[in-house]
Amino acid sequence: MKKRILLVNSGGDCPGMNAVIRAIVKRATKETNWEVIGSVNGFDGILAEPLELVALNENRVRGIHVEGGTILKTNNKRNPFNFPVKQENGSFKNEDLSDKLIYNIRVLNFDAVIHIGGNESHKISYKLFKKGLNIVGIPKTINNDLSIAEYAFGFQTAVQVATEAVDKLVTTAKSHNRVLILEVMGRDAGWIGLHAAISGGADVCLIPEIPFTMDKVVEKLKSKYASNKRGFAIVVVAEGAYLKGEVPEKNHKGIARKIASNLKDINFEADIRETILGHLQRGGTPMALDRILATELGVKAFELVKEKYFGTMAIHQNSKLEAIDIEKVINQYNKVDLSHNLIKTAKGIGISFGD
Amino acid sequence: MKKRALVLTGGGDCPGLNAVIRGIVKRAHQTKEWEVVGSIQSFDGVLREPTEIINLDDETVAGIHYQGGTILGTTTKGGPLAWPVKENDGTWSFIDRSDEMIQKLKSMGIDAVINIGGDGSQRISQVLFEKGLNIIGVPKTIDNDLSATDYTFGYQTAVQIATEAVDRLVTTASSHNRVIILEVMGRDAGWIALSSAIAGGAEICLIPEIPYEIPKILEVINNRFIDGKGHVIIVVSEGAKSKDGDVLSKESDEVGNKNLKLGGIANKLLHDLKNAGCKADMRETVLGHLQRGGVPIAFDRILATQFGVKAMELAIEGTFGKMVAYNHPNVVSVPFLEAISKYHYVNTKSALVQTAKGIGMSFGD
Repeated sequence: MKKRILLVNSGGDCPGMNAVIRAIVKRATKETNWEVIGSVNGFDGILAEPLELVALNENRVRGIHVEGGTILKTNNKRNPFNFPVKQENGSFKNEDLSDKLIYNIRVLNFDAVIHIGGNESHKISYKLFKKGLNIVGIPKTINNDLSIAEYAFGFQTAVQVATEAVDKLVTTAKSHNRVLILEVMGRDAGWIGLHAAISGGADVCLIPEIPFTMDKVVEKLKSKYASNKRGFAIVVVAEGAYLKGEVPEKNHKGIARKIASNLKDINFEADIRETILGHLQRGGTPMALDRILATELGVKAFELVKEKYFGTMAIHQNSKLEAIDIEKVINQYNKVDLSHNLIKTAKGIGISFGD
Repeated sequence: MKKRALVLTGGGDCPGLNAVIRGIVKRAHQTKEWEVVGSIQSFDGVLREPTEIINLDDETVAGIHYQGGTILGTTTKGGPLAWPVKENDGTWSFIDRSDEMIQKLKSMGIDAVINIGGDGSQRISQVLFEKGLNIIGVPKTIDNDLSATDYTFGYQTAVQIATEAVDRLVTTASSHNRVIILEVMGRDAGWIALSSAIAGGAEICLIPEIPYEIPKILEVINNRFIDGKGHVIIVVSEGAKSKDGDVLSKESDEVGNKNLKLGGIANKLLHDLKNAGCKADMRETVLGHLQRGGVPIAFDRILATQFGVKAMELAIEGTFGKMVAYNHPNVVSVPFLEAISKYHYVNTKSALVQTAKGIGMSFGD
């Protein structure tokens, strides 16, 4: 009988997930005695009755590396340790289904699980590993907020999408002498905002790591307008950015809109408009760089399974593929360090952080 | 009086050059003590009479970071160390005008020179530095073949363009059951081919570092075709060669251009495969200068901006004789000599090659 890998992806989707899936399947197919089966919609597929599992052969994964999203579907709300179960009276109650999960995996003769997911997903991976599951992780974060990895797949595609948005906003802002505010992803880490501001050429960049004041933002914006009110300015703001002295909001209700309304309140001389990029940053064809990174991680994860390095995660570090204990990764967070060269570069070309 | 920096771009163009220029100018203007001028077509702008030097103010560099090419123009020929002079009999000779040029730069009040260019440019910079010129280098190679820096700008844009070419070739190759050969840049290093082959999903990748054998390639093609149905994408570096063959090249007919002209490997491959008995329908695409054109991707603009800012900072602090380099996640500076002493070839044991083999890609070896 062939050895079997259960492939699970969870958390928010991210361009490159399909390239990971394809790489694992192609690598496994090179061996004669391995097969890969995917669980649909995170761990739901292996917990559902009837099961929702798909056999992943070469035909099924052909060409999917060019597509964004994930052919396995995903969700960021289901935790097998705290899983919503329908009760007899029709209501839902959260239950710990981890034993059932592990039981199902064993009964179906899976030799290992590869789990693609973000920080929260890998907290689950670690708990399952502790309960005896043979699991290998692959990091997935569009925000590049994993401290240990050099780059995470999907991130460069998001930066590219945000950059192209800045490119487009520049031409219209210039024509109308407007201030345009672009809100990008980044709840706790401002990497996308920082990268897009530098590559697109924004005037102001607001990120969660540097609380800002309206006075400083206004000062920079004013400097971009001549006395005849001609000029334009672009503000790139991470969704998690916040005003100095305020507490960061939990559910991030439109920081771009808030800045725009603050500017209107003080009768800022120019027209102000905002754009919220939202899920455009997760969609579309992954950039070459992300496809390559994703493929590397997929191949490496299979090698880790084959060598039985369970409880580890495949990562890219110093141009090498490495394995690192999941435990070491899950409680670290990669925020923008204020001494990072990108901050220096941004300041060097005159970008204001509103501080 | 303000201090003056002179910027110039030399060698083949590359997406991101303008972002470097903009980074330098914007950083200089933050100081209020420096101004920046540019020499047209590398050092030629300084050497020509009258000189061709332009003022680089904020207006000139506004928005140029998303344009490919270089607003300063560039050249792959000549230079201060080998300036071409036409003799009476119609032949060309080359003279060293470096001392004259250094004098000229002094009289123009230039306090620092920032030379953005490939290994040839960095070599010229080293000679000029030894002669006392205050010069700083910024690396530029679309092939990513410099070991002193983790990445060079322009390379990722080229990979992206080559990858999109593979994406397109896949749909037509599979519709017609064809073998399609894509020739990409890479004289001595196969980075662009290897990366785009992985990202695009090619079946075969041929690079200078791994000489190929026609029978091995034919075997892969035959395995991919069943009853005449199937398709194969081959990505080949212009500098790839067979185990018993040489790189296809000819000498340039441009005066002063010492670089050999490469190209034609896709066509040769097609004929060699046909002669070896390949039954499949085959086509070739040569990507050529498309790989140097267009809007740089975000990654390259960011890297280029970091290089520009760092180069200007070296000028401000008076550090000369060095080239900026990327050492993730930092931008550092390395002496010219160190920068050009080692090429960066594809290591056949590297993660990229292992990944390619892991998903079943053949290198024809």
